[in-house]
Amino acid sequence: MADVSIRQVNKLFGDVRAVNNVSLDIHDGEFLVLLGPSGCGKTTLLRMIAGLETPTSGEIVIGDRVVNFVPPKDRDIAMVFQNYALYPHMDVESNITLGLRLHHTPKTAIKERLDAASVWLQLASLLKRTPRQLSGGQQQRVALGRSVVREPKVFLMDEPLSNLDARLRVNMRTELIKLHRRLSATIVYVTHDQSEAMTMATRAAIMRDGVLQQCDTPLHIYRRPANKYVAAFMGNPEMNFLRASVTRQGSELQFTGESFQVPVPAHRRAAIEAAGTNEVWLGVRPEAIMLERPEGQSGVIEAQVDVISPMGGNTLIYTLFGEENVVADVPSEIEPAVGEKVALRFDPERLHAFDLKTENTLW
Amino acid sequence: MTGTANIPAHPNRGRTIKDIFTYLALALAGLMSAGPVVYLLATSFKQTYSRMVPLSVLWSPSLANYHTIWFDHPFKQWMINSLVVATIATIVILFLDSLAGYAFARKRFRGKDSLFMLLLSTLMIPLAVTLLPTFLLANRLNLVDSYQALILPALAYPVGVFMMRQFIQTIPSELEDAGRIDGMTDLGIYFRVILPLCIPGLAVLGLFTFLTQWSAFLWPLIVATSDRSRTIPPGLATIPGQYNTDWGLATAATVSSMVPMLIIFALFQRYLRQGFSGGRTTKG
Repeated sequence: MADVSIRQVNKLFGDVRAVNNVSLDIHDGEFLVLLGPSGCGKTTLLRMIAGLETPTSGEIVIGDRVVNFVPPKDRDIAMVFQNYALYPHMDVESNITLGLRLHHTPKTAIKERLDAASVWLQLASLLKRTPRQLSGGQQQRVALGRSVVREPKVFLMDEPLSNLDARLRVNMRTELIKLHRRLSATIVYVTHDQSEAMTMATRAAIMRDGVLQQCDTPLHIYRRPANKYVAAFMGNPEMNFLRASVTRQGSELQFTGESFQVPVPAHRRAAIEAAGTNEVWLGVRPEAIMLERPEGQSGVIEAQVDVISPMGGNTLIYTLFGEENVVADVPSEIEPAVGEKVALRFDPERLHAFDLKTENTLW
Repeated sequence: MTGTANIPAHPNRGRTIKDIFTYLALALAGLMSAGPVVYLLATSFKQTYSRMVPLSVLWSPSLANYHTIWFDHPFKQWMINSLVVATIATIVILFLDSLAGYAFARKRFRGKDSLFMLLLSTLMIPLAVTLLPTFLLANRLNLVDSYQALILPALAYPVGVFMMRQFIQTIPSELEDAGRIDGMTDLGIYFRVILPLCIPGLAVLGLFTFLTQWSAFLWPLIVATSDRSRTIPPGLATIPGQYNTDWGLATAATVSSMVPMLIIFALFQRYLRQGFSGGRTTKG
């Protein structure tokens, strides 16, 4: 197992800058998830670690060796692809062992590793089948098997679960967590699905337009997003954003929008004053909103219930006030009627504010 | 008494009549295409100098023409020449064109698109334009009346490069990435991944090439000046005489020359079907 260091790496395709000055240290034994929408450069970054692309500038270090010009086969890595990339004309056994045979691994070692992997991944009965005779989940397990038998320093995974149906995907997440624990492997995992990052990652790195936005533990990113983009990307349903100005009322500071007013929590006043900006995006996660009966209390926003989506244990309530839409995530015991007036109270501890122009967090 | 009820016309009657016409038309077309073949077969089984052969000879066939053609005639040498030329040309073209197709489909290099257009544009040059220069070249190289003269010009076959490029483009590029990570070189990927997945495409290209070479007439007629290198089509052209033609001999030779193509069709039918249907491979 090994550390992977990415140092000021850039990648240009013609005039398009796919990866823009990214620096990232991936620690030995870490499960790092590269997260972002399609086209954000995460797959390009992964392919550069794999050696399938060469960085335009910057260094990639695996262990203590700069690998920029080292071919993939000599990097001691294994990769799992989104479409599995199993060789259609070879049976499962050949697919799994080909890499070992090409690396001249002794036959007894190949057999041991194949046996171990096929027991663990329940492939024993499938070894003589070709990929087209397998289901998606089975193909996925073969692809995992192919990477596991290599016993690489680093596992690279490019959206390996995105072609599976929802239920299987959740099961495979657990399998991957176990794989990580069992091999204490360094895993770099690319996905656009924030819930995969949330459930599996020891750290997540969020990218946008080739630029690394934030790299931290998923919960830390969730609780303290570096900017509005990260705040929106992490969390489902996504954070509510309300455009507001900071106004002074007597000795109090208020977030004032077109149709609402929310007091600035006392412990955030210093940050707001230090930021020197009056125009902000006020951010509040759906679960940081409480629903109350509108009884003329202060510090709440009066809204109208628009759509109700019960999720079982909790319920998502989509509300309207003025031009704004806000979704609240509340316990399922709370059952307002569509069209009913409610009061929304934002948890002051869990309020976020982002500069309107830079979109960076103010605290 | 209820009287005669109004029985509606059978709902399928219109369709049945349409079907009858369809099958009649199809049968007619079938007869028209099968007729010459039957006539060819009938003539070849009768020793005769006449073109007018009653179909009844099919009930008392004579193998005399076949005996003559195979044992007292240079036909056997033409057959061997055709087989050698078509086989070698096919094998070399399959190898060269799949390699070139792989490069054009997957490799990034300067001038790739212009080079490919240039290659395709050679298709627009008519054979008649290149015939003389190619012959002069072959003559200068002392290759006239040799296998090389028949094979070498045939290798410049842009259609094959185009076909293989199109086919290889349908193979997911992740397979090559996987191969690279498994430790294959470029040639390793070509032999272990690309080529096995190209078999349907190779079968189609191979068949086209073999067929083209097997039936090539003009160039072999010019460059194969003796029975030493003469192939079947120009050979057949030597059978009709100035005053009379042994049609039995000519048809027996024609039938014999069709047999290898039929065998190839039968053997590669499975791959051909896949290749003609666009050469899809399963992804992953």
